[in-house]
Amino acid sequence: MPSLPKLRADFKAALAEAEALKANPDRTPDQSARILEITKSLLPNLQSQISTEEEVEAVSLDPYKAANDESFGTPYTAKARQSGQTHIDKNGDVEDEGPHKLTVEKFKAIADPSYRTAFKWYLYNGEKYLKERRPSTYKTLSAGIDEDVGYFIPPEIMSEILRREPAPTTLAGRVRRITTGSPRVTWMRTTYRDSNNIYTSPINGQWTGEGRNPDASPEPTYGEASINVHEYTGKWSISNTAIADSGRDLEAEFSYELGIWSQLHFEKYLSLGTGVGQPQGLWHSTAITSDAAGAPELGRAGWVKTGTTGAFDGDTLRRMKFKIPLQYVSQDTSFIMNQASAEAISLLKNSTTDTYLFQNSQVYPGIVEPVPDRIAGYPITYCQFAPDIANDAYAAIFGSLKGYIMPVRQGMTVRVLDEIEALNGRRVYMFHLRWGGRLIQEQFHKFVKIKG
Amino acid sequence: MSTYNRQLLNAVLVDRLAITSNITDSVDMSDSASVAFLVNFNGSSGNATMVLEQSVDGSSWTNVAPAYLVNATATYPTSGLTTVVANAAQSANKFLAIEFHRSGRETSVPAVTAVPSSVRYLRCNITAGMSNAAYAIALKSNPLFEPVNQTDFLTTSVKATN
Repeated sequence: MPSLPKLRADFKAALAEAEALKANPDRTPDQSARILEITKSLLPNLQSQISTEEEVEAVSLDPYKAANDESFGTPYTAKARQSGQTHIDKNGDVEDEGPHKLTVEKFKAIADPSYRTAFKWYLYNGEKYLKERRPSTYKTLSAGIDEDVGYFIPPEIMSEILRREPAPTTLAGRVRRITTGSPRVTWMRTTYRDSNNIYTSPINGQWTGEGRNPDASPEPTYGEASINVHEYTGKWSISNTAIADSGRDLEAEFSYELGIWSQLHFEKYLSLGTGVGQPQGLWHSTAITSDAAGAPELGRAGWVKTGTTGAFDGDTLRRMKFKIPLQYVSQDTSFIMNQASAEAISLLKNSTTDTYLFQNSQVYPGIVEPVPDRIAGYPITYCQFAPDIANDAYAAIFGSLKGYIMPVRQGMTVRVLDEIEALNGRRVYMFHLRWGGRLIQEQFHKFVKIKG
Repeated sequence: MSTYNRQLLNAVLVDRLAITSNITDSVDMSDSASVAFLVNFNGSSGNATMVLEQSVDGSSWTNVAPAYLVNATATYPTSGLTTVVANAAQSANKFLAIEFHRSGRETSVPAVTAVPSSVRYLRCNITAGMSNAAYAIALKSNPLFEPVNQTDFLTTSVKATN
């Protein structure tokens, strides 16, 4: 062990270096990191040299305090914050405000290839290692920091996730997906509806005649429709053994798993989300209707009831085409149901002749030809989250899903948690996915309700 | 708040809540993100407390987890509690209020271990000074569709001048 005078000399030299760095108002983050490093290296020395009470008195702790006062590391706030809003006005100008925005500057920073490299280092080694061992890499990574939740995934990984469409999911590609930078998206909407419910318009008035004034109406001509963007927190836990396996491309694996998961996650909540603290699913009761006769309401699609109790019937399936206003029927229009419902429909028979209804003249009369995925000329879109056939179940949707809007926040953030499962030999990747969804134009589709 | 029309009653749904056995009617939060409950106390009210409750289905109720309370009127509410307490002198001829916002986050609020209320129904349990003839008011704001449909008004009259 070095002599006490030698330790003191080292100690003083290190302190002097730290103080010199500290005194420089224009110091770089690297130099700030050096201050921290010196501080940490001093601590054991400090302990070893203090042997008497007089020596304790002689040591100044001010340099430590100064280093601790430096803002260094992940910005963090425990305060509740107000959510922001995006407004899209009639000129198409977009204005947004609020936390967690991926700003243009930040986007440019994380689009740089060096950020991608830094992000890989972060995935492998975590924040603490980078901060202490690779301060310049840590500095690059800091460009993509999102307050209190982690780091933005570089754009390359992000697009891989959004492009991926695993086979069993269908809804996310059929709703209107928009990208936003804000926790709330707002549209203007016209409020006046004519009494026959044929059209809507912001223009309203009356027949004035001889004795009447064209009264100025205080009624607003435009209202608003808003969709909240919600945050989902997920985690991926992987063993340190797997990380240490040199043959494994961790980044690719994480991206792959996230891609599969996110599609199924979207499908589930687009179908069944409650709309409270999460997206509102197509089949949630708040998106169907409260009207006893099944009429559509604002933001609620409405339904048509089958003629047969507990089953689909041919008449209802044929009638669905005529229940959607003409201007909303398009090439996207289809029947959306699960596989079991489609199976039941394909087995419908004429009770007199005992032949399948699911035929086109004599083309599909029996069991020779493949059963087409079409009903009344419209394709069947399979969604396995759709309810099964049961009394009063909304077993199918007819129409397109363009009335359902799904705002997805730009950027997904991930945070590496080294310590939380360290005892189990695992490392946790926590990520935040932010999106919302709601039916805001109810004219595009209708439900088929099974008669109870 | 309505961005385009600047009219309070377009953007805030006023819901009249009957009070039965010191418990208000429930409020359905499926169409708005924020709500403020106002409970009126008369001059003879004693110690008053007001507790925010939540339910998934409107029938089974639990207290809302703390720390998502934004604002409450009373001289000394404990910060972060969903219970608001006032003594007799404070509550006489005053409103007690609890305002509640959904933050849009499901989990991971720093320093808070409680899970926020992400369920559909909310109501207030008032433990003193209420009769069955009394009523409370819920002001629902940040609606998903504006203008809101004011079903609890006899008529809505909006006047303006310049």
